[in-house]
Amino acid sequence: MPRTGDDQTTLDCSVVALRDVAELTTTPIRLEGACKPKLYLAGGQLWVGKRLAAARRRAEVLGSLLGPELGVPVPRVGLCDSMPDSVFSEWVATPAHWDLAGAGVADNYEALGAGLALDAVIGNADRNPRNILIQPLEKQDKTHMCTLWFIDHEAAEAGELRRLRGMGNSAHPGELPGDYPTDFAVEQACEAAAARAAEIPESRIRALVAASCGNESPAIQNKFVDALAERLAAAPRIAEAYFRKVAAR
Amino acid sequence: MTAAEYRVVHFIPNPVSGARVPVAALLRAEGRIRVLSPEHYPGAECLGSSRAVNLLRAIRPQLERIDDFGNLPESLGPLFQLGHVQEVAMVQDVDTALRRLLFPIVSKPKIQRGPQRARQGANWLERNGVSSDWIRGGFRPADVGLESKVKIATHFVKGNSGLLLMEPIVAAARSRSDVLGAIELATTRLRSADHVLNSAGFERERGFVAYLLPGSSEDAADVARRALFNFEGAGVVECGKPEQAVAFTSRIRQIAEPLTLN
Repeated sequence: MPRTGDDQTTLDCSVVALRDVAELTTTPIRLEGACKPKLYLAGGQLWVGKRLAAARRRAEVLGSLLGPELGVPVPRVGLCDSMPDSVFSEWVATPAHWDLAGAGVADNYEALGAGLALDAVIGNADRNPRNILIQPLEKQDKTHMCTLWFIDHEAAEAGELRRLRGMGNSAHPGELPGDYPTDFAVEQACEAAAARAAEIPESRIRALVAASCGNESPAIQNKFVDALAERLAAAPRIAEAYFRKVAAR
Repeated sequence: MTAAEYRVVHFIPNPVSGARVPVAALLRAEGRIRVLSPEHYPGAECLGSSRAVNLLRAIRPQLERIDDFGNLPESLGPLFQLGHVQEVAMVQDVDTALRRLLFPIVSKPKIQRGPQRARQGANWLERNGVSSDWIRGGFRPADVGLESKVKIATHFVKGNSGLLLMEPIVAAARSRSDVLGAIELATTRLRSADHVLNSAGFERERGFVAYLLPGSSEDAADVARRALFNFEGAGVVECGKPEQAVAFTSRIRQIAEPLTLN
Protein backbone atom coordinates (compact mmCIF):
# COMPACT_ATOMS: atom_id res chain seq x y z
CA MET A 1 0.00 0.00 0.00
CA PRO A 2 1.25 3.50 -0.80
CA ARG A 3 2.06 5.71 2.12
CA THR A 4 1.80 9.48 1.95
CA GLY A 5 4.92 11.61 1.99
CA ASP A 6 5.20 15.35 2.49
CA ASP A 7 4.52 16.42 -1.03
CA GLN A 8 4.24 13.27 -3.08
CA THR A 9 3.11 9.75 -2.49
CA THR A 10 5.95 7.43 -1.56
CA LEU A 11 5.54 3.81 -2.57
CA ASP A 12 7.12 0.87 -0.84
CA CYS A 13 10.89 0.88 -1.24
CA SER A 14 10.89 4.69 -1.44
CA VAL A 15 9.87 5.19 -5.05
CA VAL A 16 8.26 8.62 -5.16
CA ALA A 17 5.02 8.68 -7.14
CA LEU A 18 5.21 11.97 -8.98
CA ARG A 19 2.19 13.96 -10.05
CA ASP A 20 1.98 16.95 -12.36
CA VAL A 21 5.44 16.57 -13.84
CA ALA A 22 6.41 19.53 -16.03
CA GLU A 23 9.55 19.74 -18.11
CA LEU A 24 11.74 22.72 -17.26
CA THR A 25 12.08 24.03 -20.79
CA THR A 26 13.60 27.39 -19.94
CA THR A 27 16.74 26.17 -18.22
CA PRO A 28 20.06 26.73 -19.96
CA ILE A 29 21.41 23.54 -18.32
CA ARG A 30 22.01 20.74 -20.77
CA LEU A 31 22.52 17.35 -19.18
CA GLU A 32 24.69 14.84 -20.96
CA GLY A 33 23.81 11.21 -21.40
CA ALA A 34 22.85 8.72 -24.07
CA CYS A 35 19.21 8.78 -22.96
CA LYS A 36 19.02 12.61 -23.17
CA PRO A 37 18.09 13.39 -19.56
CA LYS A 38 16.03 16.50 -18.98
CA LEU A 39 15.04 18.57 -15.98
CA TYR A 40 11.50 18.44 -14.63
CA LEU A 41 9.57 20.17 -11.88
CA ALA A 42 7.30 18.06 -9.71
CA GLY A 43 6.01 18.55 -6.22
CA GLY A 44 8.13 21.63 -5.63
CA GLN A 45 11.31 19.69 -6.43
CA LEU A 46 13.63 19.49 -9.37
CA TRP A 47 14.04 16.08 -10.97
CA VAL A 48 16.15 14.62 -13.76
CA GLY A 49 13.96 12.53 -16.03
CA LYS A 50 14.98 9.97 -18.63
CA ARG A 51 12.89 7.99 -21.11
CA LEU A 52 14.16 4.45 -20.95
CA ALA A 53 13.42 1.09 -22.50
CA ALA A 54 11.87 -1.42 -20.11
CA ALA A 55 15.08 -3.26 -19.15
CA ARG A 56 16.95 -0.01 -18.56
CA ARG A 57 14.05 1.36 -16.56
CA ARG A 58 14.12 -1.72 -14.34
CA ALA A 59 17.88 -1.39 -13.92
CA GLU A 60 17.63 2.30 -13.03
CA VAL A 61 14.96 1.78 -10.38
CA LEU A 62 16.59 -1.34 -8.99
CA GLY A 63 19.98 0.40 -8.68
CA SER A 64 18.36 3.44 -7.09
CA LEU A 65 16.56 1.32 -4.49
CA LEU A 66 19.26 -1.23 -3.82
CA GLY A 67 21.92 1.46 -3.45
CA PRO A 68 20.67 2.87 -0.13
CA GLU A 69 20.28 -0.71 1.21
CA LEU A 70 24.01 -1.13 0.68
CA GLY A 71 24.96 2.31 1.98
CA VAL A 72 25.38 3.93 -1.42
CA PRO A 73 24.20 7.56 -1.55
CA VAL A 74 21.66 7.63 -4.36
CA PRO A 75 19.16 10.44 -5.00
CA ARG A 76 15.50 9.59 -4.54
CA VAL A 77 13.90 7.91 -7.52
CA GLY A 78 10.46 8.76 -8.86
CA LEU A 79 7.93 7.42 -11.32
CA CYS A 80 4.97 9.13 -12.88
CA ASP A 81 1.83 7.42 -14.16
CA SER A 82 1.41 9.90 -16.98
CA MET A 83 4.98 9.27 -18.21
CA PRO A 84 5.32 5.51 -17.79
CA ASP A 85 8.44 5.23 -19.94
CA SER A 86 10.41 7.65 -17.77
CA VAL A 87 12.35 7.34 -14.55
CA PHE A 88 13.07 10.42 -12.45
CA SER A 89 15.95 11.02 -10.12
CA GLU A 90 15.92 13.90 -7.66
CA TRP A 91 18.24 16.71 -8.70
CA VAL A 92 21.34 17.03 -6.56
CA ALA A 93 21.88 20.76 -6.05
CA THR A 94 25.19 22.28 -7.24
CA PRO A 95 26.79 19.08 -8.49
CA ALA A 96 30.24 18.64 -9.96
CA HIS A 97 31.45 15.43 -11.54
CA TRP A 98 34.06 12.96 -10.34
CA ASP A 99 37.31 14.47 -9.16
CA LEU A 100 39.66 12.52 -6.93
CA ALA A 101 40.66 15.60 -4.96
CA GLY A 102 37.01 16.32 -4.20
CA ALA A 103 36.25 12.71 -3.30
CA GLY A 104 39.16 12.75 -0.87
CA VAL A 105 37.43 15.36 1.29
CA ALA A 106 33.96 13.84 1.07
CA ASP A 107 32.08 13.21 4.28
CA ASN A 108 30.97 9.84 2.89
CA TYR A 109 34.25 8.66 1.40
CA GLU A 110 33.39 5.06 2.30
CA ALA A 111 30.56 5.26 -0.22
CA LEU A 112 33.23 4.64 -2.84
CA GLY A 113 33.50 1.08 -1.53
CA ALA A 114 29.76 0.60 -1.26
CA GLY A 115 29.42 1.90 -4.82
CA LEU A 116 31.77 -0.80 -6.06
CA ALA A 117 29.70 -3.46 -4.30
CA LEU A 118 26.51 -2.12 -5.86
CA ASP A 119 27.97 -2.04 -9.34
CA ALA A 120 29.32 -5.55 -8.94
CA VAL A 121 25.95 -6.90 -7.84
CA ILE A 122 23.85 -5.21 -10.52
CA GLY A 123 26.51 -5.52 -13.25
CA ASN A 124 26.94 -1.83 -13.94
CA ALA A 125 29.89 -1.09 -16.22
CA ASP A 126 28.80 2.51 -16.77
CA ARG A 127 30.14 4.14 -13.60
CA ASN A 128 31.81 6.85 -15.67
CA PRO A 129 33.00 10.18 -14.13
CA ARG A 130 29.66 11.83 -14.92
CA ASN A 131 27.83 9.26 -12.83
CA ILE A 132 29.59 10.10 -9.59
CA LEU A 133 28.55 13.50 -8.35
CA ILE A 134 30.48 15.61 -5.91
CA GLN A 135 28.25 18.01 -4.06
CA PRO A 136 29.78 20.72 -1.87
CA LEU A 137 28.47 20.71 1.68
CA GLU A 138 26.37 23.63 2.80
CA LYS A 139 28.61 23.91 5.86
CA GLN A 140 32.14 22.73 5.33
CA ASP A 141 34.55 21.94 8.13
CA LYS A 142 38.26 21.25 8.45
CA THR A 143 38.03 17.70 7.17
CA HIS A 144 34.93 17.48 5.01
CA MET A 145 33.98 19.68 2.12
CA CYS A 146 31.59 17.67 -0.01
CA THR A 147 29.44 14.60 -0.27
CA LEU A 148 29.34 11.91 -2.96
CA TRP A 149 26.31 10.74 -4.92
CA PHE A 150 25.99 7.81 -7.30
CA ILE A 151 23.60 8.27 -10.20
CA ASP A 152 22.58 6.52 -13.42
CA HIS A 153 22.27 2.78 -13.08
CA GLU A 154 20.21 2.18 -16.21
CA ALA A 155 23.04 0.40 -18.03
CA ALA A 156 23.22 -2.32 -15.38
CA GLU A 157 22.72 -5.85 -16.61
CA ALA A 158 20.37 -6.62 -13.73
CA GLY A 159 17.54 -4.94 -15.63
CA GLU A 160 17.32 -7.96 -17.89
CA LEU A 161 16.35 -11.29 -16.33
CA ARG A 162 18.51 -13.39 -18.63
CA ARG A 163 21.60 -11.32 -17.86
CA LEU A 164 20.84 -11.09 -14.16
CA ARG A 165 20.80 -14.88 -14.03
CA GLY A 166 23.97 -15.40 -16.02
CA MET A 167 26.26 -12.66 -14.80
CA GLY A 168 28.48 -14.63 -12.46
CA ASN A 169 31.62 -12.65 -11.73
CA SER A 170 31.55 -10.93 -15.10
CA ALA A 171 30.94 -7.38 -13.78
CA HIS A 172 33.44 -5.08 -15.45
CA PRO A 173 34.71 -1.66 -14.32
CA GLY A 174 34.07 -0.24 -17.78
CA GLU A 175 34.45 3.54 -17.66
CA LEU A 176 35.07 3.72 -13.91
CA PRO A 177 37.48 6.65 -13.40
CA GLY A 178 41.07 5.50 -13.70
CA ASP A 179 42.01 7.21 -10.44
CA TYR A 180 39.18 5.59 -8.46
CA PRO A 181 40.74 4.75 -5.09
CA THR A 182 41.09 1.17 -3.88
CA ASP A 183 42.65 1.87 -0.51
CA PHE A 184 41.96 -0.04 2.68
CA ALA A 185 38.94 2.08 3.63
CA VAL A 186 37.33 1.55 0.24
CA GLU A 187 38.02 -2.18 0.36
CA GLN A 188 36.53 -2.48 3.84
CA ALA A 189 33.47 -0.49 2.84
CA CYS A 190 33.03 -2.66 -0.24
CA GLU A 191 33.13 -5.79 1.89
CA ALA A 192 30.70 -4.35 4.42
CA ALA A 193 28.24 -3.31 1.72
CA ALA A 194 28.40 -6.73 0.12
CA ALA A 195 27.75 -8.34 3.49
CA ARG A 196 24.71 -6.10 3.92
CA ALA A 197 23.50 -7.13 0.46
CA ALA A 198 23.70 -10.79 1.44
CA GLU A 199 21.53 -10.14 4.46
CA ILE A 200 18.63 -8.46 2.69
CA PRO A 201 15.57 -10.58 3.54
CA GLU A 202 13.40 -12.06 0.83
CA SER A 203 10.49 -9.83 1.73
CA ARG A 204 12.66 -6.83 1.00
CA ILE A 205 13.86 -8.35 -2.25
CA ARG A 206 10.23 -8.86 -3.28
CA ALA A 207 9.51 -5.23 -2.52
CA LEU A 208 12.53 -4.13 -4.56
CA VAL A 209 11.41 -6.24 -7.51
CA ALA A 210 7.80 -5.07 -7.20
CA ALA A 211 8.94 -1.46 -7.32
CA SER A 212 11.30 -1.93 -10.24
CA CYS A 213 9.41 -4.55 -12.26
CA GLY A 214 5.88 -3.49 -11.38
CA ASN A 215 4.65 -3.81 -14.95
CA GLU A 216 5.72 -7.42 -15.29
CA SER A 217 3.51 -10.43 -14.66
CA PRO A 218 3.69 -12.09 -11.23
CA ALA A 219 5.46 -15.06 -12.80
CA ILE A 220 8.21 -12.86 -14.27
CA GLN A 221 8.48 -10.94 -11.03
CA ASN A 222 8.97 -14.20 -9.14
CA LYS A 223 11.78 -15.12 -11.50
CA PHE A 224 13.38 -11.74 -10.88
CA VAL A 225 13.05 -12.31 -7.14
CA ASP A 226 14.77 -15.68 -7.38
CA ALA A 227 17.57 -14.37 -9.58
CA LEU A 228 18.16 -11.28 -7.47
CA ALA A 229 18.07 -13.29 -4.23
CA GLU A 230 20.70 -15.61 -5.63
CA ARG A 231 22.81 -12.69 -6.77
CA LEU A 232 22.59 -10.91 -3.42
CA ALA A 233 23.42 -14.06 -1.51
CA ALA A 234 26.63 -14.27 -3.54
CA ALA A 235 27.37 -10.55 -3.16
CA PRO A 236 30.46 -10.93 -0.91
CA ARG A 237 32.19 -13.17 -3.44
CA ILE A 238 31.05 -11.08 -6.44
CA ALA A 239 32.10 -7.78 -4.83
CA GLU A 240 35.49 -9.14 -3.81
CA ALA A 241 36.19 -10.31 -7.36
CA TYR A 242 35.06 -6.95 -8.73
CA PHE A 243 37.20 -5.02 -6.25
CA ARG A 244 40.25 -7.03 -7.37
CA LYS A 245 39.52 -6.17 -10.98
CA VAL A 246 39.29 -2.48 -10.14
CA ALA A 247 42.46 -2.55 -8.02
CA ALA A 248 44.38 -4.38 -10.71
CA ARG A 249 43.74 -1.82 -13.43
CA MET B 1 46.59 44.63 -35.55
CA THR B 2 45.71 40.98 -34.96
CA ALA B 3 42.79 39.89 -32.88
CA ALA B 4 42.56 37.68 -29.85
CA GLU B 5 39.57 35.59 -28.90
CA TYR B 6 37.88 34.92 -25.62
CA ARG B 7 35.08 32.78 -24.20
CA VAL B 8 33.36 33.44 -20.90
CA VAL B 9 32.86 30.56 -18.47
CA HIS B 10 29.37 30.85 -17.04
CA PHE B 11 28.18 29.33 -13.80
CA ILE B 12 24.46 28.54 -13.51
CA PRO B 13 23.92 27.95 -9.79
CA ASN B 14 20.17 27.56 -10.07
CA PRO B 15 18.82 25.59 -13.05
CA VAL B 16 15.32 26.86 -12.40
CA SER B 17 16.13 30.57 -12.62
CA GLY B 18 18.78 29.88 -15.25
CA ALA B 19 20.78 32.98 -14.33
CA ARG B 20 24.35 32.85 -15.62
CA VAL B 21 27.20 34.20 -13.55
CA PRO B 22 30.52 34.83 -15.32
CA VAL B 23 33.22 33.16 -13.24
CA ALA B 24 36.19 33.04 -15.61
CA ALA B 25 37.19 33.68 -19.19
CA LEU B 26 39.47 31.83 -21.56
CA LEU B 27 41.64 34.13 -23.64
CA ARG B 28 43.35 32.77 -26.76
CA ALA B 29 46.05 35.14 -27.91
CA GLU B 30 49.41 34.68 -29.58
CA GLY B 31 48.93 30.93 -29.66
CA ARG B 32 48.41 30.61 -25.92
CA ILE B 33 45.36 30.10 -23.76
CA ARG B 34 45.16 32.05 -20.56
CA VAL B 35 42.48 31.93 -17.89
CA LEU B 36 41.20 35.22 -16.55
CA SER B 37 39.49 35.10 -13.18
CA PRO B 38 37.73 37.72 -11.10
CA GLU B 39 39.34 38.84 -7.91
CA HIS B 40 36.28 37.77 -5.93
CA TYR B 41 33.35 35.50 -6.60
CA PRO B 42 29.81 36.53 -5.72
CA GLY B 43 28.54 35.55 -2.29
CA ALA B 44 25.79 33.21 -1.19
CA GLU B 45 23.14 35.96 -1.30
CA CYS B 46 23.80 36.39 -5.01
CA LEU B 47 24.35 32.74 -5.93
CA GLY B 48 21.47 31.46 -3.85
CA SER B 49 23.27 29.04 -1.53
CA SER B 50 26.42 28.43 0.41
CA ARG B 51 26.80 25.21 -1.56
CA ALA B 52 27.18 27.24 -4.74
CA VAL B 53 29.85 29.41 -3.12
CA ASN B 54 31.64 26.31 -1.90
CA LEU B 55 31.43 24.74 -5.33
CA LEU B 56 33.03 27.79 -6.92
CA ARG B 57 35.76 27.81 -4.31
CA ALA B 58 36.39 24.09 -4.80
CA ILE B 59 36.63 24.18 -8.58
CA ARG B 60 38.64 27.40 -8.82
CA PRO B 61 41.94 25.46 -9.21
CA GLN B 62 40.38 23.44 -12.03
CA LEU B 63 39.13 26.59 -13.71
CA GLU B 64 42.55 28.17 -13.54
CA ARG B 65 44.17 25.11 -15.13
CA ILE B 66 41.92 25.03 -18.22
CA ASP B 67 43.99 24.76 -21.38
CA ASP B 68 41.32 23.77 -23.88
CA PHE B 69 39.56 26.62 -25.68
CA GLY B 70 36.82 24.32 -27.01
CA ASN B 71 35.65 22.36 -24.00
CA LEU B 72 35.46 22.58 -20.26
CA PRO B 73 36.80 19.72 -18.12
CA GLU B 74 34.12 17.10 -17.55
CA SER B 75 34.70 17.25 -13.81
CA LEU B 76 33.18 20.74 -13.65
CA GLY B 77 29.77 19.20 -14.15
CA PRO B 78 26.65 20.54 -15.84
CA LEU B 79 26.45 23.91 -14.11
CA PHE B 80 29.38 25.40 -16.01
CA GLN B 81 29.10 26.42 -19.64
CA LEU B 82 31.33 28.04 -22.18
CA GLY B 83 30.02 31.16 -23.89
CA HIS B 84 30.38 31.97 -27.56
CA VAL B 85 33.73 32.86 -29.08
CA GLN B 86 34.19 36.62 -29.09
CA GLU B 87 36.96 38.54 -30.81
CA VAL B 88 38.83 41.30 -29.05
CA ALA B 89 41.44 43.65 -30.50
CA MET B 90 44.96 42.59 -29.61
CA VAL B 91 46.18 45.48 -27.54
CA GLN B 92 49.19 45.60 -25.30
CA ASP B 93 48.50 43.70 -22.09
CA VAL B 94 45.24 42.35 -23.44
CA ASP B 95 44.82 40.15 -20.33
CA THR B 96 44.55 43.09 -18.00
CA ALA B 97 42.33 45.04 -20.33
CA LEU B 98 39.92 42.16 -20.83
CA ARG B 99 39.90 41.23 -17.16
CA ARG B 100 39.00 44.81 -16.30
CA LEU B 101 36.13 44.73 -18.80
CA LEU B 102 34.78 41.36 -17.74
CA PHE B 103 35.42 41.53 -14.02
CA PRO B 104 35.70 45.17 -13.01
CA ILE B 105 37.11 45.69 -9.57
CA VAL B 106 34.35 46.93 -7.35
CA SER B 107 35.22 48.85 -4.23
CA LYS B 108 33.32 47.78 -1.18
CA PRO B 109 30.02 49.60 -1.38
CA LYS B 110 29.22 52.07 1.36
CA ILE B 111 25.84 51.53 2.88
CA GLN B 112 23.64 54.32 1.58
CA ARG B 113 21.37 55.53 4.32
CA GLY B 114 18.35 57.58 3.41
CA PRO B 115 16.90 60.19 5.73
CA GLN B 116 16.08 58.80 9.14
CA ARG B 117 12.49 58.11 10.07
CA ALA B 118 12.28 61.21 12.28
CA ARG B 119 13.71 63.43 9.54
CA GLN B 120 11.25 62.05 6.99
CA GLY B 121 8.39 62.70 9.37
CA ALA B 122 9.55 66.23 10.07
CA ASN B 123 9.98 66.88 6.35
CA TRP B 124 6.41 65.81 5.68
CA LEU B 125 5.05 67.96 8.46
CA GLU B 126 6.94 71.02 7.21
CA ARG B 127 5.75 70.47 3.65
CA ASN B 128 2.20 70.41 4.97
CA GLY B 129 2.26 73.71 6.72
CA VAL B 130 3.49 72.68 10.15
CA SER B 131 6.10 75.14 11.28
CA SER B 132 9.37 73.58 12.38
CA ASP B 133 9.11 75.87 15.43
CA TRP B 134 6.09 73.91 16.63
CA ILE B 135 7.54 70.45 16.35
CA ARG B 136 10.18 69.39 18.81
CA GLY B 137 12.29 66.28 18.38
CA GLY B 138 12.86 63.55 20.92
CA PHE B 139 10.27 63.78 23.67
CA ARG B 140 11.68 63.24 27.16
CA PRO B 141 9.55 63.31 30.32
CA ALA B 142 11.77 66.21 31.45
CA ASP B 143 10.15 68.24 28.66
CA VAL B 144 6.95 68.35 30.75
CA GLY B 145 8.60 68.80 34.10
CA LEU B 146 9.06 65.15 35.00
CA GLU B 147 12.31 63.56 36.07
CA SER B 148 13.50 61.28 33.30
CA LYS B 149 15.65 62.57 30.47
CA VAL B 150 15.33 59.38 28.45
CA LYS B 151 13.91 59.97 24.98
CA ILE B 152 10.63 58.09 24.70
CA ALA B 153 8.94 59.46 21.55
CA THR B 154 10.23 60.67 18.19
CA HIS B 155 8.69 64.12 18.27
CA PHE B 156 6.01 66.12 19.99
CA VAL B 157 4.10 69.34 20.08
CA LYS B 158 3.29 71.01 23.39
CA GLY B 159 0.86 73.81 24.05
CA ASN B 160 -1.56 75.21 26.56
CA SER B 161 -4.22 72.84 25.37
CA GLY B 162 -2.15 69.71 25.76
CA LEU B 163 0.59 67.49 24.56
CA LEU B 164 0.74 65.40 21.41
CA LEU B 165 3.38 62.68 20.99
CA MET B 166 4.02 61.49 17.44
CA GLU B 167 5.70 58.53 15.81
CA PRO B 168 6.26 58.58 12.05
CA ILE B 169 6.11 55.28 10.16
CA VAL B 170 7.88 55.01 6.81
CA ALA B 171 6.24 52.41 4.59
CA ALA B 172 7.14 53.39 1.03
CA ALA B 173 9.71 51.18 -0.76
CA ARG B 174 10.02 48.83 2.16
CA SER B 175 9.21 45.17 2.46
CA ARG B 176 6.09 44.11 4.30
CA SER B 177 8.11 42.62 7.13
CA ASP B 178 10.07 45.88 7.49
CA VAL B 179 6.83 47.86 7.58
CA LEU B 180 5.37 45.56 10.21
CA GLY B 181 8.53 46.02 12.24
CA ALA B 182 8.27 49.80 11.92
CA ILE B 183 4.63 49.74 13.03
CA GLU B 184 5.46 47.61 16.02
CA LEU B 185 8.29 49.94 17.00
CA ALA B 186 6.18 53.08 16.66
CA THR B 187 3.12 51.78 18.49
CA THR B 188 5.17 50.20 21.24
CA ARG B 189 6.97 53.47 21.83
CA LEU B 190 3.66 55.32 22.11
CA ARG B 191 2.28 52.80 24.61
CA SER B 192 5.51 52.97 26.61
CA ALA B 193 5.39 56.76 26.62
CA ASP B 194 1.83 56.69 27.93
CA HIS B 195 2.88 54.27 30.64
CA VAL B 196 5.80 56.48 31.67
CA LEU B 197 3.58 59.57 31.82
CA ASN B 198 0.92 57.77 33.83
CA SER B 199 3.48 56.37 36.25
CA ALA B 200 4.93 59.83 36.76
CA GLY B 201 1.53 61.24 37.59
CA PHE B 202 1.28 63.44 34.51
CA GLU B 203 -2.33 64.59 34.47
CA ARG B 204 -2.58 67.02 31.60
CA GLU B 205 -4.41 66.15 28.44
CA ARG B 206 -2.29 64.28 25.92
CA GLY B 207 -2.66 62.49 22.66
CA PHE B 208 -0.63 59.93 20.72
CA VAL B 209 -0.40 59.63 16.95
CA ALA B 210 1.26 57.03 14.79
CA TYR B 211 1.34 58.63 11.35
CA LEU B 212 1.98 56.61 8.24
CA LEU B 213 3.85 58.65 5.67
CA PRO B 214 2.52 58.59 2.09
CA GLY B 215 3.10 55.36 0.23
CA SER B 216 1.72 53.07 2.88
CA SER B 217 -1.02 50.56 2.21
CA GLU B 218 -4.47 50.15 3.72
CA ASP B 219 -3.17 46.95 5.18
CA ALA B 220 -0.41 48.78 7.06
CA ALA B 221 -2.93 51.26 8.47
CA ASP B 222 -5.14 48.39 9.66
CA VAL B 223 -2.20 46.73 11.35
CA ALA B 224 -1.29 49.99 13.07
CA ARG B 225 -4.89 50.52 14.23
CA ARG B 226 -5.01 47.02 15.65
CA ALA B 227 -1.72 47.67 17.44
CA LEU B 228 -3.25 50.73 19.11
CA PHE B 229 -6.53 49.00 19.94
CA ASN B 230 -7.85 49.91 23.39
CA PHE B 231 -5.24 52.64 23.73
CA GLU B 232 -7.18 55.71 24.83
CA GLY B 233 -6.10 58.95 23.20
CA ALA B 234 -4.12 57.22 20.47
CA GLY B 235 -4.82 57.22 16.76
CA VAL B 236 -3.45 56.41 13.37
CA VAL B 237 -3.11 58.95 10.58
CA GLU B 238 -2.67 57.99 6.96
CA CYS B 239 -0.83 60.98 5.55
CA GLY B 240 -1.58 59.88 2.00
CA LYS B 241 -5.28 60.62 2.58
CA PRO B 242 -5.83 64.38 2.29
CA GLU B 243 -8.70 64.64 4.79
CA GLN B 244 -6.70 62.78 7.45
CA ALA B 245 -3.57 64.79 6.66
CA VAL B 246 -5.41 68.11 7.01
CA ALA B 247 -7.07 67.05 10.27
CA PHE B 248 -3.70 65.96 11.64
CA THR B 249 -1.87 69.18 10.78
CA SER B 250 -4.80 71.25 12.08
CA ARG B 251 -4.64 69.42 15.36
CA ILE B 252 -0.94 70.17 15.68
CA ARG B 253 -1.57 73.80 14.85
CA GLN B 254 -4.31 74.04 17.47
CA ILE B 255 -2.05 72.74 20.16
CA ALA B 256 1.02 74.69 19.14
CA GLU B 257 -0.19 78.14 18.07
CA PRO B 258 -1.06 79.55 21.49
CA LEU B 259 2.41 78.56 22.60
CA THR B 260 4.14 80.32 19.73
CA LEU B 261 1.97 83.43 20.24
CA ASN B 262 3.30 83.65 23.75
